[in-house]
Amino acid sequence: MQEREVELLEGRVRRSLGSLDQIAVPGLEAVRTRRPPSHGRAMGVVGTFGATALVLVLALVVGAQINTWRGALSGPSAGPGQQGVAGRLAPDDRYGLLVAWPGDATTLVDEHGTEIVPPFFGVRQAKTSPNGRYVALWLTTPSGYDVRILDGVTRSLGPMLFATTEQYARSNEGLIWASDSSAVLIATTADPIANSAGDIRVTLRAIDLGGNVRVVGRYTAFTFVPLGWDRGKSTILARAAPDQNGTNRYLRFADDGSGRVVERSVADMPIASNDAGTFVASHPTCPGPGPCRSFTIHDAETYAVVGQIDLPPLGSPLTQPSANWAILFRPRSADVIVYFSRTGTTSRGVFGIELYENAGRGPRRDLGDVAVDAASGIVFSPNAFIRADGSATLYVHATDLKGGEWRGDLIAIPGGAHTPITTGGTPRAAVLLDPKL
Amino acid sequence: LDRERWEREIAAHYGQVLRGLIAVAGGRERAEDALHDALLAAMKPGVVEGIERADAWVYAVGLRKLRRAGWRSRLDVLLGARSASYPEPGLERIEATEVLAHLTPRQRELVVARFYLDLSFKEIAEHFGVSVGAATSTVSQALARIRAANAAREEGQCKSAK
Repeated sequence: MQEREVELLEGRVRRSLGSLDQIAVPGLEAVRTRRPPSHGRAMGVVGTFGATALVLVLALVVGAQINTWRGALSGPSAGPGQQGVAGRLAPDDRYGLLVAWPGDATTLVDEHGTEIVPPFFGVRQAKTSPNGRYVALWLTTPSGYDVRILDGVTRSLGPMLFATTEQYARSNEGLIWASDSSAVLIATTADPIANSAGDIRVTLRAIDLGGNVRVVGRYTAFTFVPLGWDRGKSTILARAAPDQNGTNRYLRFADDGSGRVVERSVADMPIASNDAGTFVASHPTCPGPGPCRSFTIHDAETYAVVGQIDLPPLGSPLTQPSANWAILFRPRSADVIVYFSRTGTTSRGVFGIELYENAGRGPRRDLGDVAVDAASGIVFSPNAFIRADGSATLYVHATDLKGGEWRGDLIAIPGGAHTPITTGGTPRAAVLLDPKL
Repeated sequence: LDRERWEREIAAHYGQVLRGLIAVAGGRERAEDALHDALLAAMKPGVVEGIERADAWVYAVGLRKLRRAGWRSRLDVLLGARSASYPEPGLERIEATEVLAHLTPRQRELVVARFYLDLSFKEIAEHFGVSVGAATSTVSQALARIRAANAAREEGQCKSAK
């Protein structure tokens, strides 16, 4: 090759390799604290002693056994909706989504977008039960608020279970499920909730699926948010702020109506619990100008830190209190999913999503990125919703300001294979339509 | 390097090194494992003090870790391990992977070192334990392959256009 030709070719190779810069990478701390699968590590130890035939045979036997155990311990098993762990998922009509249409109508559709129940109106909060079968609804009515239950298996909206004129306690979320899916708890106040009103008196009511209502606790604070309900330990978890600027309190109520409550001032903000009510996720109250870039997972009983999740240096959590906190517990497990903005321009954003097994103590699993092109000059940040059996996540974004259609990827968990999906409206909650799931 | 300068250099360059390792490994998981192991190796007493260029050292050590992990991944396949069957986020759209696909593993490692991490042939020779002549020759052969592949592709495009 002529010298000039070599020079040109080198320039071309340099430019081509420059495209590697498009690959998003995790933060340095995430790499440093990375814990590769124990399986790989075990094999590495074996490797240091040489790959003798004897070791290979032993490894085959032990490895097969370990895989069996791993399979048994790895959370949700591969459901019928999965085509093997490695396979790509397809939208499946046994999985349902509650979606809101432009205006006030909400309906239930399957993953193909087929409408399953007639539209209903006034949904302010929709919360999926731990078993995935029900969605509890907090609905506005002409006279106040109702609690109703949507049953995914019978594909019907149940009757009104509780009606009140009381409102949520300065929170967008005042309804949670019991860990055994037998009842919901709502936290409401009869006091005015305008900011100037100061403290409000909050009532906690348990409502079972038969419509039986009982008061299980009361509390006075500036804001109050229920987080979880561990039925096994008869404990309701909540966060309260004593005043407009005060530190947060982490609360544990007895669910027997005795009024017993254990209070604890915390430096961070508890924001979500897993379905079992055994772990609580928090984010720090960051004093700096930038967004907080970490989440902490606590033991729900002691509030001891069990896991720490740091987002990449450029990662910015898509924190939206009105939707969720960009951190989700995977149903039927203590695995945690976080999603965040990696990088972007005014015309295109790249958004990451990661799974951390075992309450943040397990290895990080990169579930891949979703790139969003601007529509009408806006890059719509995606939201994540997890299938109610934990087998996949929908990472979808609005395609216009009305939210009439959301588009994105259905992502297999834990494999990470992506399949494009479009929902007929703004997703609000996932539900199972098949009792076998 | 002293420890402080090491940390600064790593913070500045780890992303590029990781991308280089991803390009060579063809996937993120193994590359992240390799970088993790290389950073761990640098924690041993006295190691950092003997390093002159952090990114070159981490890349070279990361590659060694990748190679050692190679037989393990083959064992993974034998064992039918689930971790080996996890599909990773695709890299198909990255132009660089197309270019590197025509090269041998060794050529790939050196081409990334030379044209992505901007190591000189002298630095490549030092970190890869080869002579400057061998490094130059490997990269030249890689360029020749890329040129041939480009020519074949262009010829194919001409034929299909006709």
